[in-house]
Amino acid sequence: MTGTVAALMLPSLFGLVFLGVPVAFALLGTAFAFGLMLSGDLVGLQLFRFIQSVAANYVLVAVALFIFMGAMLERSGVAEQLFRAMRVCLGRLPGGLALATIAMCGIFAAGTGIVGAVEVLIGLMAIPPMMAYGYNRQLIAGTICAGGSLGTMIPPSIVVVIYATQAQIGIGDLLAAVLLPGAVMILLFLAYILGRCLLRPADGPPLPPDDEAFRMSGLEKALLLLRALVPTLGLVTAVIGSMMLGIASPTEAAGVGALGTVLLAALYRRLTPAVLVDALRTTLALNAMIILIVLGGTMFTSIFLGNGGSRMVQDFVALLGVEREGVLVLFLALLFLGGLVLDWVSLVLILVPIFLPLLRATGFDAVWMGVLAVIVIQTSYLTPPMAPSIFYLRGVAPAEISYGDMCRGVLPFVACQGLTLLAVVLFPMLATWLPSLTRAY
Amino acid sequence: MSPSFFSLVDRFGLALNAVAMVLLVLLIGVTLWEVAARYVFDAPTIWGFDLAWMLNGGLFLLALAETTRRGGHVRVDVVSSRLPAGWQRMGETLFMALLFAPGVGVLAWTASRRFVQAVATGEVDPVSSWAPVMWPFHLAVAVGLWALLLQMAVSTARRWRAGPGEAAS
Repeated sequence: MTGTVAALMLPSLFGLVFLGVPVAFALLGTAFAFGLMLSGDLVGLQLFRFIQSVAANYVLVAVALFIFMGAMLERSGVAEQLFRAMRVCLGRLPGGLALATIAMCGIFAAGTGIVGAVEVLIGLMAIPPMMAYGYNRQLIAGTICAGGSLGTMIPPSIVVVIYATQAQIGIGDLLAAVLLPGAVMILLFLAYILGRCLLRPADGPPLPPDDEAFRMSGLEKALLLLRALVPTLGLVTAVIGSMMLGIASPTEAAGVGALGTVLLAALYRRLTPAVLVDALRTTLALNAMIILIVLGGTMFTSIFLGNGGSRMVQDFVALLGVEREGVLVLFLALLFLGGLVLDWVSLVLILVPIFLPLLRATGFDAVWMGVLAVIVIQTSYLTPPMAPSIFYLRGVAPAEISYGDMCRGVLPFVACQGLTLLAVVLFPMLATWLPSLTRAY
Repeated sequence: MSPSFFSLVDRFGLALNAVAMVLLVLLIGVTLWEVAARYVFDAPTIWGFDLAWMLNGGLFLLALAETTRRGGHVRVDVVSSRLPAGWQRMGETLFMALLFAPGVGVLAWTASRRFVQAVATGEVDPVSSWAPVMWPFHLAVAVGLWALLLQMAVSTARRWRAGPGEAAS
């Protein structure tokens, strides 16, 4: 009986999801139906325990605070400052505006773990000048989507926080571990844009000679860069650094980050009661959305695993005859394929608890596997045709940039992510070195 | 169900969301206080930790209804957008009536009983040295769940009132 229950849970869930029921509700509903079948009247008490454990989870406090930090940073005027500074510094290079966009996204992503709204903000800022200077449309689309997706990867990322809680590894460790691979990815993005525009100058012409990028003196540029970078980088370093060194818990660091972004907004004269309320409201909605999936996912997977699911997955893996590397590849492949349909929160909540015993049995470093998983999640976030990043871009892109431009435009960046994944596979040190260093303190 | 009942449910969700907003501000304040107490004054509080998770749990549950009203939950519309609008609406209504309402109803009922119990026994957190009373947390859980259930019922009813033409939007 119980084996059948587990076997029926996944199709039921997907049936509901494809019917258009919100994913969180579908998880909850499936958990309730199968819980009722198995436990009868006790299902209420059984599922209620999960509400208590999720609502009372101190680590999840960091999620709300990081979302607020991102929402506030978005409204702080930092992005405009950063983009202008990057533009005057990089504008003379081929593809300068695209380079400036990626550079800005890298720094901005270090202050926020939320992606959709950031991509919209960046798109609104960077698409019009790139269109005006005749940039290749595929390059524009790819740059915005790739830059926008960096938030899933660069700390403090919500993906990392949720993944770490499910894989039962330290949030600080995983945040430290994704830092270098994130930097590698940004460098690959920049190298691709520069290389492409050197070979095909028409794809991303430099700014015209009368632009401020040429007129400004080196000193003026340095001052502009300092003014844009120092406050933001200072905040980011304080938040990430205190977590990595284990001085502060992620929740405490997130609290400091939240205050920091409010101060930044005040510094750039953007702080009004309306902005503050708007940021609070956005935070509540995003947080409720994410945590409800965490709650539904926790209920779903515990009932699945408790009723023959773990046995079923083990049998399935045994049937495939894979072990160690094979198990890891299977996990990452399911994560990638699932990402083409489901949102990443549900995926992490379903796949990670199910695979956790198998992943542990491989004997690989859990943090290293976590980094690979985070890169794969980010890649599926960018891979057409079902890419959330393309969906967000469509909301802000002018009609001249077609859906086909977007799909083709992101592919080289997807390849860069593939290279990053390969780099972390070949050189595990990229992921494990920083956490080992910070653990020594 | 009259339209005024619908807007009453909306306003209830909005009011809870406003409370959640206050809790979020308090949460940021408590976290910062704790950071200052621990790292600046070297005198960590005994209440910072408990208050933080209680506020966080409360603000999550109290914001659920309003998030639902605004359609803030992730959906996958690859398949459903290709279904006839009537089918999709019927499917969702069945889901609501058969799974969601009983499921959330049972949870809300359990939460309410826990709240009543906590008030009656003066329950305090057994694992905390601060030993805070538990009823405010249980109250937030119960109220948040009932509000979610009401809001979801209203949203489903609205899809039928909107007529087949608008149902898909």
